[in-house]
Amino acid sequence: MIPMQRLVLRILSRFSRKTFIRSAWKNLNSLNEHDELVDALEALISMSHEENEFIELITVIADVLSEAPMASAFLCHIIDSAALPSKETSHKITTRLLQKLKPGLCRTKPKKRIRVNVSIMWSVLAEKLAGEISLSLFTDSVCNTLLDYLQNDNDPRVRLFALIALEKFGMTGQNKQKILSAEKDIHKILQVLLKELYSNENSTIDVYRKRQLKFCVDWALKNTFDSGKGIIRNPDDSSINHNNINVMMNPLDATAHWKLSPNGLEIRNDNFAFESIRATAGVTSGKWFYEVLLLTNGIMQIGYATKRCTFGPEEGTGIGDDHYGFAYDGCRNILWANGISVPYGGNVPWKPGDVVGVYMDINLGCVRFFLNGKDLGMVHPLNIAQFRKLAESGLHPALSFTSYQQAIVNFGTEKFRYPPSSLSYEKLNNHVQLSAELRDSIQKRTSRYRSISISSSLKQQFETTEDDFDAQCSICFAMPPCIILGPCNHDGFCVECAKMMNLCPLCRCPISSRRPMNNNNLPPSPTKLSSSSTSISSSIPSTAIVLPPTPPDSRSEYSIPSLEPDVSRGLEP
Amino acid sequence: MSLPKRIIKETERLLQEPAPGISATPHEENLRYFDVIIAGPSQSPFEGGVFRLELFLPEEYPMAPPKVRFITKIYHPNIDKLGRICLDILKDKWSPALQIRTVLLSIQALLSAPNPDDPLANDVAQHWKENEKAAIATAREWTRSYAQG
Repeated sequence: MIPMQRLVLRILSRFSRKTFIRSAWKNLNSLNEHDELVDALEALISMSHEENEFIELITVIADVLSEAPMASAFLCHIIDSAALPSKETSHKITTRLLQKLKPGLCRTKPKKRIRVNVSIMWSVLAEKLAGEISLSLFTDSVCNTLLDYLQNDNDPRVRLFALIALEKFGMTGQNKQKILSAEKDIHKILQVLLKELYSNENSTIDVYRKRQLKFCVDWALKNTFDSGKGIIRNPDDSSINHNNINVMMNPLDATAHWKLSPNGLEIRNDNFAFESIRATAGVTSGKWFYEVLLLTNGIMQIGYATKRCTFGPEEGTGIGDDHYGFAYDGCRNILWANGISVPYGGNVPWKPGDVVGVYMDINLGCVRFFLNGKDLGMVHPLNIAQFRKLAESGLHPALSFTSYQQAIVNFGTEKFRYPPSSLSYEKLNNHVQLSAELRDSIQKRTSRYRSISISSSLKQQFETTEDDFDAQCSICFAMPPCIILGPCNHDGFCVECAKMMNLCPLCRCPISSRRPMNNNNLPPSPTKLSSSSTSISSSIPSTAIVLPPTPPDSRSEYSIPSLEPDVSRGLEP
Repeated sequence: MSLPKRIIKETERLLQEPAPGISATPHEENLRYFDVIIAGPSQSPFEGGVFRLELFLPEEYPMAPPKVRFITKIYHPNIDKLGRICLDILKDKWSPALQIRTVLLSIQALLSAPNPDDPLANDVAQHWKENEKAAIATAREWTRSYAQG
């Protein structure tokens, strides 16, 4: 089959390579039959093994890439499976792509679609081929072209993809330097752009694309291209108090590449994988409703998942793709549960601005999705007993996005756009609390996070923590080790860590007591796992706890006496 | 930056004194996410292979184990086709006294000593039990085809 195909391909490509690629690509986007799809894809991939054909493939796809939701997914797959191009080939590719952007005879600018497509093509290549090859793709003219689009293009979509391409090239260190030291100052461009976007916020033209651009510009300023000098504040950050938000999307319980707003409710994926994320809160019983405002129309799986749902961004698995959750995708109009999909919803794909409502009744084991208030029908993803069992471990609102998708989640902080009037339900936001600590970590994660390079941040933190390794708790490496565990007498733990453990971390025996250490009164801790105790607790009555000596270098926040009552009252059996 | 000191110190040690045949580098944009490379142990069917893994430290780490997965395809009875690893210390036998380094050393050891009696990849384990020689040959072949860096 395959050699035959190759042969046909060779012959075809001799005659009209371009026509062939065009038709194969067209088939790819319209075919539903799995086998035919695989064949078309196979045909395109096999072209990538010869340099000239690969260049041709790239340039033709740059011509014909459409806004169809599957298009960029296929493109990524082709580049993924393609033979790695040499530096020379990639330089030729970049030259060809630049030629496409040259003004024509009767136009001053190439078509908008070409400007977008070439930017997308560069993004895919820059991400997939980060490193040496990305360097040879990113010539000065490419850098200037993209910065120019970002600064001057009048189409928000062109600006958006120029920015994303710059971000992707910036994944390679030397390229990032090139961007930051370019004549056009990217910080200035981004700040001016952000101001401009805020000032015509009330315009109704292209509202969802502008929202995406604003989100990405804001993110780039705070993260990818953070100047380190402070930034103009996005009014969304400072003027709005986030304390009324009790549920956020949790970047710490997600795949690695999300872009997230500081309030934890607006999320976007610009990575070429199927990224997934869970909300901070999960529910075990009751009836619940939440809404998602879509800003894009691609493949998104919106629903609920437990913590056991595994995310496979590279394999393309997310919410609803295993036994631990369920989700609706209105791009393909299907419902995912137990790892299989069934047709669900209408015949028309969803579009930017649509509002998805997610209703779940755990007691009855049923789920309903709504699109702009229209009930898409009740489903039982599992039988009732299984559903309740699943919910026992906590069902979290959860979403998976393909690349370039963005949405705003509402757990009840804002008024629902289309509340299901005939159904009773609770708002998640009214029933849970978000710990200050988690809120803080999420907000840190949304700003100035990515820009901190490992070397400098680590160095900085090491300089402030030169304490001897041994002088610290052997679990957190941060607090003074002042607790000895019973009955095994293993020591070297701080109060907090000792509290969190049920089994001794060294010998795995159940912990029966947690006592302060006193180096004068206690024998050195046994090192063998089996050597258990002559009961030392009997030699120290719990009413007369001897405080450990304060280490000379210990700072005030580690003051042990303040922690001591916890130890004696709370933890002694 | 609210990265726990424990993670910072472990990272520092991993970078300064890497274990033989193992490298672990944190992602610049997410210091809890590591790119790991393990060299196939000598005298094992994985010898000569370069295996890429991803390692993620969840929020609860070290009270909860790191999540580790093979990215490179590998033919091994305790590693399934999604790269998930069947190793007790990554599950119920986790202890907060274990570290990234010890976890990676254990995985390296698992490559030297596959255990088909506690399989994750059933078909591979079956193969291993029924015809160890042939299974080892397949593992060698996979190492040659998929684990070359």
